[in-house]
Amino acid sequence: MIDINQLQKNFGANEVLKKISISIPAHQVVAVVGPSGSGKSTFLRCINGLETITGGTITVNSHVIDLQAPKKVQLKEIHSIRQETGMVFQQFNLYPHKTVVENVMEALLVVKKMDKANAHKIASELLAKVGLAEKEKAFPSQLSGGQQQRVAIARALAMEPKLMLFDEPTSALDPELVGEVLKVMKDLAEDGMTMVIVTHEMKFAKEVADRILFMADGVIVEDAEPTVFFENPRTERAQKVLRQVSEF
Amino acid sequence: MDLVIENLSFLLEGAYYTLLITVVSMFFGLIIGLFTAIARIKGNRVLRMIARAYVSIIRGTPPLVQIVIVYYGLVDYGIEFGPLTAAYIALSINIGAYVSEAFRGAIQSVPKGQTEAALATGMTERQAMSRIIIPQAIRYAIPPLGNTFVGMLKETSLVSVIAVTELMRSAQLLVSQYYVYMPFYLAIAVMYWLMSTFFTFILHKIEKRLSVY
Repeated sequence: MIDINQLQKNFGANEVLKKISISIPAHQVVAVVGPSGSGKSTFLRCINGLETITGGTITVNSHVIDLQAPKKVQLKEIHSIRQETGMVFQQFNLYPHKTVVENVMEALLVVKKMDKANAHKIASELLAKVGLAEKEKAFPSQLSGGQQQRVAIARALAMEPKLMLFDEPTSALDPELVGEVLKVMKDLAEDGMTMVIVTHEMKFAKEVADRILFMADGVIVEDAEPTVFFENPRTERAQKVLRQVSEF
Repeated sequence: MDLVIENLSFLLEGAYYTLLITVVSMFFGLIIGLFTAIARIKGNRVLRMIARAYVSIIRGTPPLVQIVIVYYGLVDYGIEFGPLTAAYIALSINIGAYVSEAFRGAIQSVPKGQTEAALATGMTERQAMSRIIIPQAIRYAIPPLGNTFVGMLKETSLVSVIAVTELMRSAQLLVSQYYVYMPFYLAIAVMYWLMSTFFTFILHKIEKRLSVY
């Protein structure tokens, strides 16, 4: 599903991602963890082209982001990847001027050119799935953070993505609202969705992920199954982070 | 005072032209301003430069000079407009520059996450702009646009110099007919004030209405 080869990303002179290579097969749930500033979010944002890469290639479902290709081809490939990839942001980024159901319908209307009735039907089903059927007509500002994030997940799912990217989806939430979002994500994982999740929720990662990527200083330091990673982390970096987390 | 009442219909006709020029110029100014703002933010280098030069020149020169250039100056190159047309053109171009600044600020105040969210769902840059960013930017732009609009209303008095019989010139004509100044000038001052207040009120209503979410 995802093939990343020698991915590099610099912000000015600052090397954020240092030649990362990794493959993620379909239906795998991958949790990306690591200290802040390690490049996790940047890594995720490169996958759907929200960050322009500095070097290497990214292949998602046979669409390739390759700097050697003409600019036009690159843009087209990124656009294709985005249509098959859903993304959920830390700050939800719901459209504040649209109601909940309109948020979910928007891409169906604009990108898929679907008619309103069909788009509405799909949006209603997805909102029911994330437990917000009764909030269709509300505006995002009238919802709690947890509800907003569930709408954002429904919005991403509307395009029937083959891959879902989560960028710290629970970091901006009050602790008591984290559970409802993780529950929706867990359901999604059980449905067989391919997911890449940048998170600080170690417990969730351990429980739901098939694979943990531990990043530090722009490289993937550990790539292991959760049981292995959490019980026997190989590197000292990972051991230290896990100790800090378990102190909470 | 009697003179004013006697000539009220003449003054009202002037007020009608003042309103007409304001609304027409504002309408085209909004279109020019929106495209200029987008050109400045999203355009390539040439477009950005043209847009910047336009805004800089218009904001850096007096509107009166712009009006006489359009009406008198262009005649030298064989381009002739009627007074009213010249007023529309000069003021639309003038207001467009100010509107573009209001829009530019408004577009930039829409959080970056909004564009990212739209792009991530597969929208093109253009779709994200027209469906997600601009509708939000318009709400941010309404207060500064309101000020621009009321400013425009008053600025229309300048086109009296090219013989457009709007409110200002109506008064001037009456003054030259009756040789009294104060009643007529005072009367139009009141009329300008009433119109400005009315529009400020309307804009305030719109602003409130749009802030439902």
